Amino acid sequence: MWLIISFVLGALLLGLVMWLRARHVSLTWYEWVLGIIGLALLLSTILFATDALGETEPKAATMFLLVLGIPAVILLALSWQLTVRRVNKA
Amino acid sequence: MSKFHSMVSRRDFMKAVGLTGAGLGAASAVSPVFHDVDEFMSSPAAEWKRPWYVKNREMEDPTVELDWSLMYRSDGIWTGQNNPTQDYFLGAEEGAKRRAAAAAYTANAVQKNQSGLTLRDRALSSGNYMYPISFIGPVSSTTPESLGVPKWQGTPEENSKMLRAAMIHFGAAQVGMAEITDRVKTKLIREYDKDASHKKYMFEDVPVGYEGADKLVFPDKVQLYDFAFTHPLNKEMFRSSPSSDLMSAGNSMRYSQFSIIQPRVQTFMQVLGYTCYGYTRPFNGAIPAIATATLTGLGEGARNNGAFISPEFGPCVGLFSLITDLPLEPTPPIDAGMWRFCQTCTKCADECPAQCISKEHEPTWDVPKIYGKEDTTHIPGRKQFWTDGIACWSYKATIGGCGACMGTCTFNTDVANIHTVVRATLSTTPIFNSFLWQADKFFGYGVHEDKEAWWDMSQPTLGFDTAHVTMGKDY
Repeated sequence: MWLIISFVLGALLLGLVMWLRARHVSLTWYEWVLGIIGLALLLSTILFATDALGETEPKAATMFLLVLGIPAVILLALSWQLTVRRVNKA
Repeated sequence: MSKFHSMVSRRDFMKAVGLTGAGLGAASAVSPVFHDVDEFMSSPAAEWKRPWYVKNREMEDPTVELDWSLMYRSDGIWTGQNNPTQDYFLGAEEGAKRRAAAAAYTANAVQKNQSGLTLRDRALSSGNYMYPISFIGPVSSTTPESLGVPKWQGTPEENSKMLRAAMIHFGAAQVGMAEITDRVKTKLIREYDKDASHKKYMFEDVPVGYEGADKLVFPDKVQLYDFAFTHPLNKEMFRSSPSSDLMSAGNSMRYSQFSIIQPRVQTFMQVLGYTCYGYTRPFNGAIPAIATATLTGLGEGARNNGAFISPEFGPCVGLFSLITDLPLEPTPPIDAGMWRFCQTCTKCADECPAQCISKEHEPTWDVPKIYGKEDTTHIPGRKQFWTDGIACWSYKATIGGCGACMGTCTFNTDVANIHTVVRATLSTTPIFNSFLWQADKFFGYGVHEDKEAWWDMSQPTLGFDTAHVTMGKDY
């Protein structure tokens, strides 16, 4: 599973960098930080939630989705929206 | 300068060779060099792997504080699981009443097909108790004399390595060693055996110990050693507690396995030219196994002082402790932060249906009275929490068995990566202990409602992952 996630993640990051270059957009330092933290949380959510399901602890899996997954989505969305709004404003 | 097909100049290449050579030289200078297997066996660096956060302590100084001046040799019959002992504290009438209630509960539960106590659960639990074992063990016809060779001669380090490898082959998971010092003789070796025959453990001036009609004899002038070992138990079965024959099946597997392991190691020792003094039955060792397992660094004391926690396997482990005249290298107690964590966490005490585990947060030297009498089931001299063994053993039978304390324990976890993060965190950063205890409850870890789900689970052989700890991992 992690091999597939690595490929998807690599392709997405490559696509992001190419898209940013094509649009001549550079991210600010805090947009990078928010994005990286959000991504780390998202990967942790996938790891811990699938682990918990593997050891037949469905409540723990749900809690990981709640406690780590939601902040991950919020941070990634925040990073994305900050960038988009800044670019549109310019 | 001609580079031809290479991007590396001759000068750069020679510099790299020089640096590599220097690096290899430095590495070989600090790395141990072994010339043969015997030398490798005697190396202290070749001990078994443990998680990085498990720290060794000084000899005879485990994390549960000890005061040896308060201790005395125990009598094996003074335990909560012994019926006459229960009668002493409860009164014969109440003891008989509880035992009748226990038999009625189980019989009724099987007839009702109660989850955790169905016919198949009872059948699984009943098959585990076989113990054709004895203090001296089987007499092997193969000895150094019969083979025409001198008895095995190795350094204590070599012997420890050899014994650990043999014990793991025979069915143990981890092995710790200690010397039988005068302190151990006068404080830890039981005065009487736990068996109904109630034989006295004695030391006599004989070259080899023996079992007499009313005594179990060790040689007094021969230096003896003990080795404790773990037999991990099925974590999932303990999560079906309470009222579960599945838990009983998971728990009793250790005794069934031990009845095979003990004769194996006793024969192994005899062929080497040494003696291994065993249990009289799988429950009856000369030294309380939690004591030696703690002192030899297999794990730490727990809030329930009838239990024990291994950093690698958690609380669901069976412990055994055997005595030998084969010289062994002692292993020290450890600190993995688990005993410190137990002083914050009360998950086992909260879950206990008999409410027999202390909920205090400050351990004490004082053994509280039970049922208005001095608690003779515990030996003082340990600063810990004191479980009422009579309440535990007499009550659990009346609800079809219980191991909820071990099943729900924060350390009773599986292979998920988060558990290693948690253990490493609480080992190094106790300020998070309270948070981690609450998080364990919040995330829903602990005993399971659906007891019969175990039958549909994919479980490892004997119910525990033998390979995990060989890589220095916990679970």
